[in-house]
Amino acid sequence: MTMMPRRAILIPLVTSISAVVAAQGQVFRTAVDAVSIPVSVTDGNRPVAGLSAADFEVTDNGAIQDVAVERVEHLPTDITFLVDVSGSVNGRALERIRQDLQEMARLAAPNDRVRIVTFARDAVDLFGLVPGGATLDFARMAPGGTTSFYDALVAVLAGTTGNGRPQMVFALTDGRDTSSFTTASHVAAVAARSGAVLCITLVRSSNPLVREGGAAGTEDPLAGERSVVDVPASSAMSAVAGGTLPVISGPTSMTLSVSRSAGPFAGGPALPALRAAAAATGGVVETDSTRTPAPELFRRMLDDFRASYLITYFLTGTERAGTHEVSVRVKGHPGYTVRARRTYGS
Amino acid sequence: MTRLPVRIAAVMAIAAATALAAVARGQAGQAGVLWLAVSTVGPDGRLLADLTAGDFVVEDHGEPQEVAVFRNDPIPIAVSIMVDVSASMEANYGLVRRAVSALTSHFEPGDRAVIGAFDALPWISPRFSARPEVIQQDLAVALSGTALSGTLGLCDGDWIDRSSLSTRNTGSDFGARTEFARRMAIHGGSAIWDGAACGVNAAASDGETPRRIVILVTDGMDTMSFSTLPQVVERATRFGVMIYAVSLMGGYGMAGGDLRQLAESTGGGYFFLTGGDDVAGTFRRIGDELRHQYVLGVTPTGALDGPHELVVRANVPGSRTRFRRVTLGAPAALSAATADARATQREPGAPVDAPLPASFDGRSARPAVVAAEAPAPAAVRSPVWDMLDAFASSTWHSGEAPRMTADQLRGMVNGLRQGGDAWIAAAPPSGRDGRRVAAAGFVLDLLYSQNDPVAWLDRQPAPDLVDWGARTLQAMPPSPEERLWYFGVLALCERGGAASLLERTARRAAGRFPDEARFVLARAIAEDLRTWPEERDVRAFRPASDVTARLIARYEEAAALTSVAAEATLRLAYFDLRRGRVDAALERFGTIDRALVAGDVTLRFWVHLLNGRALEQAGRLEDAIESYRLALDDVPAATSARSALIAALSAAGRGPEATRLARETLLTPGAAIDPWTIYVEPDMRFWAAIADRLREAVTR
Repeated sequence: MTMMPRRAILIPLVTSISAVVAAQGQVFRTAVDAVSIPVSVTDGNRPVAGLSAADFEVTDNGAIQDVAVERVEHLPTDITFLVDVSGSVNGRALERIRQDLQEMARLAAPNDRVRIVTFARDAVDLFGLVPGGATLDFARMAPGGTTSFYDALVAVLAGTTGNGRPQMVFALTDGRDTSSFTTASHVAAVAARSGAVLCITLVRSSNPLVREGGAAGTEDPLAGERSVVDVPASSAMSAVAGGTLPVISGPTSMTLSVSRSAGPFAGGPALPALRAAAAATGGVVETDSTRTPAPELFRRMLDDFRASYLITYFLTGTERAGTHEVSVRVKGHPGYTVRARRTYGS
Repeated sequence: MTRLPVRIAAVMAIAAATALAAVARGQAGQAGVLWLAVSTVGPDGRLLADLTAGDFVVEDHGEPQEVAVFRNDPIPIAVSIMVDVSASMEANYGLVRRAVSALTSHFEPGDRAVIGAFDALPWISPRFSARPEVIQQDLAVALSGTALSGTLGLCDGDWIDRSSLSTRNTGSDFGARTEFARRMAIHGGSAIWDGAACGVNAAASDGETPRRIVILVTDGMDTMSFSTLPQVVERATRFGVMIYAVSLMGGYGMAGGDLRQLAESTGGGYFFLTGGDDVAGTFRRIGDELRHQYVLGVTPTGALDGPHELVVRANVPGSRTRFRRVTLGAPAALSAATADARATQREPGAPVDAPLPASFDGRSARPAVVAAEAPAPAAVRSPVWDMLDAFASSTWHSGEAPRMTADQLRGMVNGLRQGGDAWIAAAPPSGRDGRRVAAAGFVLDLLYSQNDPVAWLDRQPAPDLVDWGARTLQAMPPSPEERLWYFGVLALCERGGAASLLERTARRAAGRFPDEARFVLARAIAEDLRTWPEERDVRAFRPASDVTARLIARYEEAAALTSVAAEATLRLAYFDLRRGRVDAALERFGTIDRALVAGDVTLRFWVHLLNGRALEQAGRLEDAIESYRLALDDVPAATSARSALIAALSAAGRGPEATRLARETLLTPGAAIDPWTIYVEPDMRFWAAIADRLREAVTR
């Protein structure tokens, strides 16, 4: 097949290529849909390098596709660090998290872009995308609160769609979710439609000092998690219908600290559901109980991600609308493990 | 029976009791008679009420004994009704009320009963009564869980650790607690054998009738008694008390086991009842059986106090005979003089409301406990006075109470017991109610200010603090401040997930303010709390069946009360949804009167958010999206609703909208309060107002 220009190839997932190329004044086709899928191929634990388009067989809704293949390591990538700052992570632990994040950002190439999304009850994009290696601004990082991991994943995955670059979401958490309203099933469903590859590393504690067997006073904040919800004090009270109690009708500047241990939910990580969510994106969930520093955990994930391929094809033989089932295999190597997203939808 | 005028019935009762006592005392004293209470049922299970002395065979060590005395005339019964009031029994309370009513409504002249209850410790009413309404009143107190502050008192017995009570704690060690003190407060568990022993003691205190019975009602297994089964049997045998054990639904662990042994060892009966059985009929049957007992007096060949191997049977083919050796007179531990004095004080025609001897009177048994609570002399200034003075002044703000260790808090309980009442009493009479409010408010602030209520709110010393606050306020007529105080305690219990303390406090509050619907709702929420936190996505949600039954019953009860109907229905609907009953949930959501939620933004949000989840699960994605949008109208930027909406938009194929909202979510601050995060602590939304108003009341 004829290799497509890189800008056309890099459109992640599905988009109408006509609009993109028209903007560049190079119209090769009209109203043709391009699909890009990151694919990881391993032989045992070893990434398989040197594959070309001729090595892959890709079907979309059963229809064989002509594909172009590029190594991800050659492509500038957007990396989202999703970091758990719930519980009572503060003081030295908080400082350590900042150091780890800065170090992880430096592992990215200058033409990559990174962003930090922290989550406790709310997920917060601290400063948007910045070049890899940049000095990060943690001014907006506010630790504490319940743990809404699934809600954060939903927002991050849904908010990560095509911008012409491979997308990697790296989540570092102990996986316990105490207050999300969405569930791991929601995460899996959103992940299946996301343009990002989700990589999760589950650790014993979101507190880096605990993970590293830190000094006295570094108790696991989640072992007896206590969170703080700011309840606005009421200045204007209205009566409950038929009742006698005033209710909060609006926030004021005064807040009351309301502490609570676990939120509505408890228990460890929903590993099968998280694995399903990651697998839907072609990503992976790994667990680590070795007290390995976060930057090292990220580096392994990043190496694995960079060793993958980006397969792109113009959709043929099937309609664009609806949910698509994708199958990717390496011809003549049934023993290879191929990790790629399995579905996508409009 | 045909109802007799009260006066005539009472006179007959006294006459019958006195006559029997006289005969029995006389014959026992003169001839060394061994008394047996005997009942016989025929092959069809019906009581045989017309047997004669010649129909019975009595053997001792295999030797036939002559029946010297035979009585088959009506003899009053003295019944201790001991009811298990542990949490698991609650679903059976209605049955218990009907059963006791069935028993007492068939009382014959002279019959009398005393109500007792047991959870971690046994409690007993201070009086026997022949009046059904009095007995029902005592039963209501027992079932309301307010025994300590109501008419029931702690039953005297071995379960009281007197050594611990006489030891004053001082200094840094003054927080040490004892097992007994822990039990005083937890109001949980089932000390069945202690309850039975208490009932035996109470029944045995009636020295005027040989028909002394304990009816023990429970649904479970003994979990914490000091007494043992053999000890109870021995004591019942010694004082000739029969025990009827009634095991209600849920008591499979006891069926055919220890309870049956207890009953049969004491000559009583064992009944295992399920919800479909005629519980009231069973109690009537027990009453009939007791009334149709025969009293046989035999003169044993050996010493009266020596060992006997007795056999009693009736010469009726297929019949079964139960018997019990009975001893007239109060047990040695009791004061016979007290019983006699009680008899002589009774005026002819007066109802038989006999106070129990002092040692069985909860109030008089309390002094050992009260000693630790007794107010210090007004002239002695307790260290706790400074804190109370500060709190009562305008310089103290909510949440300013010092954070304490558990031991320090225990010390505070002791300090309040020793000095708090005195602080109140030190005020002029007109100012004491104000100080009561302040002292209780101080307790509330102390609870609120602690760092980790979850770790200790359902355990001591928090319940002790709440008890002290409640009792302090109960010394004055119910007031708006007391109502607010209860709201505050309930909110803190929910915050800490303290289901047991919440349930107990809500019951107590409802006793003080029967018209307050929110207290009814709080009891339902207490059951709800038992189903949280939930291990989501790990395993299916399967709440315990008894919790589910109570939860539904209580929410439905609350849903009938207008002021909390919407919230009760909402919460019940979401419970349905959690356990996979989507259609039922949607139906309930549909019945919520939106006008009732109009004034409460949190409630509105919950309705829209949770209804959205139900619609989503029903496959109605567009309706779900609309519902989530309504939730965001109520509380813009609530993370829960945003996330739900993002996921629903994505599932509906509206990817661009989902992406826009997701990016907005990550870049804009979440709501100051996301009502979803306080779904399991709903009364906390009132906290600010509660604290403000109590503060106003204290400084007024």
